[in-house]
Amino acid sequence: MVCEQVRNELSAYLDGELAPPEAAAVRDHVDACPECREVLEELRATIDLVGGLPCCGAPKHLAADVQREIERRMILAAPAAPADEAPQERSLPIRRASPWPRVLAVAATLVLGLGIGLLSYLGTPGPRVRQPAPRAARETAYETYDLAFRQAAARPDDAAGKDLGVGRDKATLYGAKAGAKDGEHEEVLNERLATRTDAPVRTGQPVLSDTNGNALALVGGSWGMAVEEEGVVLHGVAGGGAAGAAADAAATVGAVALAEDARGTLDLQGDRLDVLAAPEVALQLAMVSVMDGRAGVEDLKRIATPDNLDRVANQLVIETESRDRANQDLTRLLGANGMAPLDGPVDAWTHGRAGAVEAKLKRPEEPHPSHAPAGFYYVAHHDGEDTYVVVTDRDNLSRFGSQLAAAEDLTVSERSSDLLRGVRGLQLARRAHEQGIVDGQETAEWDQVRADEGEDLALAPSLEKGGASVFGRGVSGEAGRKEGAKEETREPKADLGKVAEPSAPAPAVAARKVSEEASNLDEKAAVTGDEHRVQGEVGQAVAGAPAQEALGQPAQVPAAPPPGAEEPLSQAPGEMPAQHEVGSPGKPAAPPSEAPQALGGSPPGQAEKPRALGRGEAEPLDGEGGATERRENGRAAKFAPQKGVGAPRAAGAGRGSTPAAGAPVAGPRAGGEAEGRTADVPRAPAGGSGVPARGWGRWYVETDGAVAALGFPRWLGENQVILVIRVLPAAKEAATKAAPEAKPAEAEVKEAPAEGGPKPAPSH
Amino acid sequence: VISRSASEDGPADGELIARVVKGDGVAFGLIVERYQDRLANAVCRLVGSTEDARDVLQDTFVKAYENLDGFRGGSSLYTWLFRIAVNTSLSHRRKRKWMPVAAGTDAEEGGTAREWADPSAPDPADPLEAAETGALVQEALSALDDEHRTVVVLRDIQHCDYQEISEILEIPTGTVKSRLHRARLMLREKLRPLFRA
Repeated sequence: MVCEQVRNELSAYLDGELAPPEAAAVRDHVDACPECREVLEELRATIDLVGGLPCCGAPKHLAADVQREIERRMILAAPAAPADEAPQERSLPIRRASPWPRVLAVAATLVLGLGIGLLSYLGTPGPRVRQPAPRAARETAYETYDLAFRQAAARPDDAAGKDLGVGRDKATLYGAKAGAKDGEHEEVLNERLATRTDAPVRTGQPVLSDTNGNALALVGGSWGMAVEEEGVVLHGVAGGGAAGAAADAAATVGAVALAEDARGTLDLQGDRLDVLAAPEVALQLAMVSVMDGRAGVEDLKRIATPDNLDRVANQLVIETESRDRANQDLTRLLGANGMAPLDGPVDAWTHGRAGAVEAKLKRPEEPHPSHAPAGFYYVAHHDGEDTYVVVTDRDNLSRFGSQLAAAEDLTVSERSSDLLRGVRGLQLARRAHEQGIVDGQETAEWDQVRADEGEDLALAPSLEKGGASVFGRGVSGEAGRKEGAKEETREPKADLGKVAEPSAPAPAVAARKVSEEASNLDEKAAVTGDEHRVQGEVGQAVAGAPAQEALGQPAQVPAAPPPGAEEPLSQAPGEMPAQHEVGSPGKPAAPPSEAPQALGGSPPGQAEKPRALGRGEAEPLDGEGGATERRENGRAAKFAPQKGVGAPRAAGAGRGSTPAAGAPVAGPRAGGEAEGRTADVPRAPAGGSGVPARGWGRWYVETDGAVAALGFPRWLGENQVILVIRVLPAAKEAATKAAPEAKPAEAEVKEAPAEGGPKPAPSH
Repeated sequence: VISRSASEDGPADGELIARVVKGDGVAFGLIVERYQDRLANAVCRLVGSTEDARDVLQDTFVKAYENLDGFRGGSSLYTWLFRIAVNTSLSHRRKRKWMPVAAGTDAEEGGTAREWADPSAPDPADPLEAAETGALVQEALSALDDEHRTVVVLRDIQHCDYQEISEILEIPTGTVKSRLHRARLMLREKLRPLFRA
């Protein structure tokens, strides 16, 4: 082998790439040839030098950079909208929870109009409008952001979360470092969102942004983002644990394209649900899309699958305003999907408006005064139980009864998710209550609840170990509203399951509880005379009982305890319910003899605190003792002090104009609790508007007849409340029987079936 | 090196690819994390600047993401990624009208050499001398034309065998062998002063 041949093989020889015979030949030659050996050594040294270069690792945050770059390219790849399509894209509706966005929209329109005029005058083009990004782009954005969020959660110390701007208190949801944005940043961001015209935003949620300036909202454990370019929303993405929360987050930042995705969902049927990996989000938004009129009932039916049938059924009922029609649709739907027919009517949600129509049909002579709509309600019939969900402005809560009476005038909720999650909150709260979940004994299930629902369902933050039961906090009672000092000697009352007065069906009582709670919240305590009619209507809607007597006959509505028994709402004998004093002076409270009996479980004189449904009860306020368990009608119920959790009426304390709000805590605790009670008052925002602290499940009560909860979940507007009352079958049955037969209360109680009895027939 | 297609402590590449194609963004994040260091070292030496390497790496993974559904598994994922990285690096240099930049100029460019430094690497006995040596080697490497520099990086830095280099660059192994030898001979001329030192 000559030198030239050997030298051409030296690199391969050093790399071990030569076959053994060839390698041996090279080795023999090099051993004998100094020149070739020198070349070999120089090549070896060259290799060593190059190989000795320091190793370069990947730059920090490469994955996040890649994610952002992918999204950026997707945005740039989005086609521009043809000019003739632009207006349509810009006029997409977005659901709103309060009139404020409309005001903003109007203002924004004015601003835009002026701006366009000026630009036209200057001869420059107006704002560029783009079509939403293609579906693939939105999916990619979803993936990339979801990736980022997951990574942030997986690596708490990583800067990914900070880069995303998921700062503030929400950052902990993702395990991310707090990447707090200062107030100025948020102000600028909100200003920008407020002036956006193509995708209005919904107020009431904090708005953050990612490092690209895209508006980001975090609701509970979910997130929504509007990906923008030059102020135009290109697409919206949302994800996270709770679908409704994600949908709300998306709506918060005006991710209107996401709602359009929902429309796409209808078209794609099940495909997109898989692609998005967030079927709950898609379905929720599909429903919103239907509610907004961008899709029809037929579209909704097409997305039904065995997995989501229940939800679709619920929505169908809402849309058709008729359970019968919904059941018919479902029957056809099931048949079309090759599914077994239903054994009977589906228990499903019905819309409050349907109940009102029904009531109207039954009482054509009954006037329905027009009221300014300030809320909405739903009546749900599910699993033999009836549930009322009222969402309204806090200031109007006391007048919700009037609105119910004029249900046809009610504002129809644009947010079915409010209903679904509101009632889900009640269900979960009830389950927690039944399981005796108390502070320090939280179960994995409840942890999951919190993970799913975020802070909306979070336990009261200041629960102390060994303190109150989680949901033992009753809604305020009436007596405490009057004079808290008398409450300590009151009996527990308001056992709705024993309501048997013909003129007082259980639902009416439940409705009254609502009114009381409303009064507790309302600084004016202004309850109109329509309340009684409302009670009757609610009773009719729930139990199908002829509640006409109650309508227009407020005197028959139980308002005072019978002799020897305390009024169910904890009103002291001889005292006038506050709501009557303030709001209905012309409607005196019913005499004690007309009040329903057997609403209390303890004998007179027993030094127990009023039941949770009693107005103005003091016990829930900051009690420091241990949980008190009482048994009423064979059913245990925990009512225990719960430090750090304020009663609903305290929500009005900030305004200081409601006697109830400022009422001293009952009994010997009153003085000593003053400070703690102040701390319990739901936190008002910095503005001091008296808006209660956000939360859900803080005020919950359960009796044999009903469960009720009042919440201020984050997904509502700042000044809105949601009130959920579920009337249990026992109470319903009792009311149904009591109304036509006018049996004495005691007898009715004995005949009342136990909870879980036969389901009542659909009311229509 | 290339044969390490599956992480010892994670799902196999094929599984990750399938997940990404189905829309699992998290899986792609895992791919990035799995290969970013190995690609980074090579890219850094190919483009000669950590700042440029950052851009190239980002582009590499974005391109991979965009084309992952077209990856048929004919080669390993690493080989496929490296092919993208090499092509992106060379394209980047051409677009930037690359002028050879000696290693060590990152600081002047606002680079992040410290950030990129391998924390596990032992400290040299004489950091200054090592830095000077490294700068000279990188300068010599950067002075090579693209095809020669690439094979040197793949072999002497990434320790790929000829077959792997052949697959990455899609050239015959004989070409790899001859090109690598020529590249080393050119480097030898530039680095000879270091031999004598």
